[in-house]
Amino acid sequence: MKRLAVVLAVVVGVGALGLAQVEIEFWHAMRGGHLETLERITARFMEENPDITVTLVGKGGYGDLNTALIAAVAAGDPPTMAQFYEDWVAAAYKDALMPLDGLIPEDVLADIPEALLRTGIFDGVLLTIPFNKSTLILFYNTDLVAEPPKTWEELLELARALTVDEDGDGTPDRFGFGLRPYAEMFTTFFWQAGGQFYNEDMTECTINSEAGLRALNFLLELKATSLYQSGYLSGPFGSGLVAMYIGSVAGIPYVARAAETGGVSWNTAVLPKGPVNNDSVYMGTNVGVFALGSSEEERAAAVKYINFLLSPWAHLEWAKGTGYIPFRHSVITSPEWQAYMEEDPTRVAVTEQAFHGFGYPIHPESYSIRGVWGDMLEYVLLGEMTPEEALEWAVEVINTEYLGG
Amino acid sequence: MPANTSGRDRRREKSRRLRRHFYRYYRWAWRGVLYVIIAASLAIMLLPFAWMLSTSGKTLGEAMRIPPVWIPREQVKVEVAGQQLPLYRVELEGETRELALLERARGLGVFVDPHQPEQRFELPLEVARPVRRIRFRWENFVVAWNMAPFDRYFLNSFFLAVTTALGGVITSIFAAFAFAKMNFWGKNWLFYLLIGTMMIPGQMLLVPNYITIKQIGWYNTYQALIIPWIATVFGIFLLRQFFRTIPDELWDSAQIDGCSRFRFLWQFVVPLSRPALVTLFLFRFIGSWNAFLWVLIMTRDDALRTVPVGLFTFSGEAGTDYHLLMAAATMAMAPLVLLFLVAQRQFIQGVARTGLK
Amino acid sequence: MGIRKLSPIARRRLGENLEAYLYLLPVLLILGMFTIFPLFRAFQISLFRWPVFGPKEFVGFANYIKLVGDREFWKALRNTAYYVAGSVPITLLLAMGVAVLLNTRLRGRVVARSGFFISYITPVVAVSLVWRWIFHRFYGLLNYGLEWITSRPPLEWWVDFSAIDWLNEPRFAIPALIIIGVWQFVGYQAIILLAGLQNIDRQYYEAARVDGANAWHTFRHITVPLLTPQIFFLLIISMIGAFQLFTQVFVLFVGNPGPGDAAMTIVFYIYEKGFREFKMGIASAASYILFAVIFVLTMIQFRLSRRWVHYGG
Repeated sequence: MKRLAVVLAVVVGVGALGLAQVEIEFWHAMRGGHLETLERITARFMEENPDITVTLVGKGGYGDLNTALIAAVAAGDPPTMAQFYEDWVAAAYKDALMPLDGLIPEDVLADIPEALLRTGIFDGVLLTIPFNKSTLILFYNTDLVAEPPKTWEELLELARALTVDEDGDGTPDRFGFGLRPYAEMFTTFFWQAGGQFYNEDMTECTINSEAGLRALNFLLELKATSLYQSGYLSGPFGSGLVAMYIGSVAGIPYVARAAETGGVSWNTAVLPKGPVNNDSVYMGTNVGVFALGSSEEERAAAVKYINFLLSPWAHLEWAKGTGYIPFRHSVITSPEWQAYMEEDPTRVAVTEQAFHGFGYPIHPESYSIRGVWGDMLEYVLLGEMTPEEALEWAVEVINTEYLGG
Repeated sequence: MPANTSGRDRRREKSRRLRRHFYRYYRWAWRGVLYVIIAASLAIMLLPFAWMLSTSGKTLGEAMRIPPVWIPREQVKVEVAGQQLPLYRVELEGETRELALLERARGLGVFVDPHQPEQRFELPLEVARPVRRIRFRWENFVVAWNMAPFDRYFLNSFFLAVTTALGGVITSIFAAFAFAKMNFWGKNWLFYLLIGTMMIPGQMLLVPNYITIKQIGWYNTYQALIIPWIATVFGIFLLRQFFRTIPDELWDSAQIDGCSRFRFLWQFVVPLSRPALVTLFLFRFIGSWNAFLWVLIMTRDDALRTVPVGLFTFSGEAGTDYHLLMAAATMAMAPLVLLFLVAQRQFIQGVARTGLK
Repeated sequence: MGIRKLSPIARRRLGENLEAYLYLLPVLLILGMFTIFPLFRAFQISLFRWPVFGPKEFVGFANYIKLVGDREFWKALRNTAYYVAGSVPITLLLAMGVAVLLNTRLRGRVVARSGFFISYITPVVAVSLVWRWIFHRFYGLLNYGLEWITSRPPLEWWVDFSAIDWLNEPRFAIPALIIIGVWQFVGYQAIILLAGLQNIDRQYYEAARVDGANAWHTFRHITVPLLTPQIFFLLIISMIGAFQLFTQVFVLFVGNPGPGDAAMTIVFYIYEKGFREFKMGIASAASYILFAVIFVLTMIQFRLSRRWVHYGG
């Protein structure tokens, strides 16, 4: 009898071991309200999967996160999963990540805009999945703008009309537009003009085209009637100083509060259409799983967690709670999301724009290349170079220094 | 007065008296000028801090407002027939009245007189100016405090700062004494090497140090946040400069009296260097208190993290919660200001060196 | 020949050596492990092509050669030198003034000292936000103040002032950073100088007064010479620190090196190369070039110090 008891105890013990906890670490850069939403979603995941513990480890902002990741990978001991920008993956982590092909259900993948999904594919392998993505959107003051502009020309006209200098002191008292010089402004307008960033095998940067000129000239004309600054435009917009601006949807909460104080009524609109389309560049990070430093069970658990993040409930909660764009077609057509858009009209344009986006091809030197695009834009807007000169300069630098020309 | 005091003597007396008055007046004026200079400089120095304090009491909208707002305000609300309605100031038939807004539609507002609620006025919204009163939003401090586990962070910061500062002072005392008052092989080379370690940017040491910390199993522990910071070249250099001003004769006479170096160090040198030691403690404390990146990289649990990590919570991807950040930053600074005031006491009471026997 | 056979003098010297190293032991151990060892590792990395993940390739001094030919690297060095040349002397001079002012027996000097020191204690992230507003072209307090001063006599006849775009125009980027740097460190340097002033033997002052010296004379010939150890200390420390300017740039210009890269300092360049472009080898090499520059300048300072620093011992 005693021996039977012992055997039973052993069997039960081994069985319990089978239900052993798997712990995965997710290194992220979320703070404040976004972190709360992530914690809520993660808690639900852990409820539904009691054998998995997801430890959310905040590592500051994106810069600090990257620093931490570099150190961790150098030490050979990275976390199970983390957030990644595409250029980080292309430049450094590509070979350290686990391929996700076949681990995400096909129907989910088909539900995501192809251009967005492609930002996670490197050398034909799916390495990262979109997580907290954003696009550019047009913010406009509804007291001053009855109908948001639908094309570049309309935008320019409207901006000019709305720039007024009431006291005649030479400085406008209100600007029709607010312009912040950063690479995404160029890449978006360039793409809208039908531009191609690289040639077939990415050995040449091809922005010195007709599209490039159109984009830069358009931005120059826009600048002439804009408040030009390197800081965020949510403040000036909410104070009524700026009638319209194009910025990230992630800025919506800030605009909301600035506008409330400033007594400004506002709304969002999709980007005005350029010669070819009105796409916005996709911004934000994806998530990926490291192939080293963790066990098979841990990686499997991480994949399960990622699939949960993509699931309808979690995706809806995430987009609602954080303001990042929803990118699953089935989610935005759901009744919950429709009701949400009615509650909060600013979401309508955000949702529409989410499915009009693009990602430019990523190269290991993409960080530097993007830097050159940003510098080029600044030189043009500051009047230090003409658009032609700037484009030639940028292509020259990129081809020789970064594309190994 | 002696009988033969000449007119010249009397005039000299007078001019001496005048000169004395002049000097007193001169010193008064000089003091006045000093005060003005100090006050003006202080005003400039404290301006950013004043802005910080003022922003702690605003709403985010007010904090982002252009042109900038100094005094946080809110619109006054009055109770009219059981409802809280916002109050506006309006020009009506030549006189200024304060009316509450009942409802608004298409640029027009329906206003009521709070004292006579039956009277209604329909006016365009643009002529109505909100009635505001000053309101410093103290709740920002509470909200900020709750947005991150600041109670834990403050505890950690305090513990780490005290241990690192104390450890730093003690090790620096020993090392600085060696450099200042002793002769040993390789002294100069070693000193230059130590100074040299300050010339490499910290980021380059971060990755190798992370690997080391991981390898000795100190990742996510208090040791990792304390031990590496106990040795400070800044401290060694600072104290060495002070110790070197202590006359060698003091040591000579102590030595004759049979005093060991160790006793000399602790019985004479340390008490004489109080201002320097207090200063060093203060700076190491502050340095530890404000440390951010190292803590972030070397820990993963909130239970070990410090105040600067908490401050980071308020910086978002597309903007910052300025009002909460300023409230939190004010709270983060408060212990340092207190410590400084305490240290000042030490300073001013510091041993006035009156020379050797 | 054993130790026992050593002369008393030699034995004492050995004893002193041992004792000195004993005192230095904790510091040497810790610094050795967490500063000197990583320093060598960093040098090692500078000789490689060092991707974060994947095989590392030994390239000898190729990184250094590449840096010497990099226009951006030299620009960063120039910007940094500009900043050092501006902030170090200005801060030190002002700090001297402040320290002397605050050392007099005025009422409320504790409060005054705290006021000057608050700038150093304020968290950088909060400070930079405030400065971004102060430097604002249209609504910033600085332009407002400058406008006010230059619109009153006598300046109004000499200076024609138009709003400076401190944060968006390249040529004002470093000056703006110098202003912030001075503001932040004046109090910190003043405190160290105050400690030095406190340290000065009263006897010297008494002797000076007996000799009939006036305030300025005392200051020039007693105070300053006796403060030279601390002045020297601050000169070295602030120079080393100024060469490593990074955080303020990062926070003031929101992660960018200023308009048109005008605020690209050497450490910012290093950070970019290492942590954004993932080129650790180049970043390490740049760190060592920076190290060499600072080292040479510091050694020159140390040599020169023999002439002007009095330890009054």
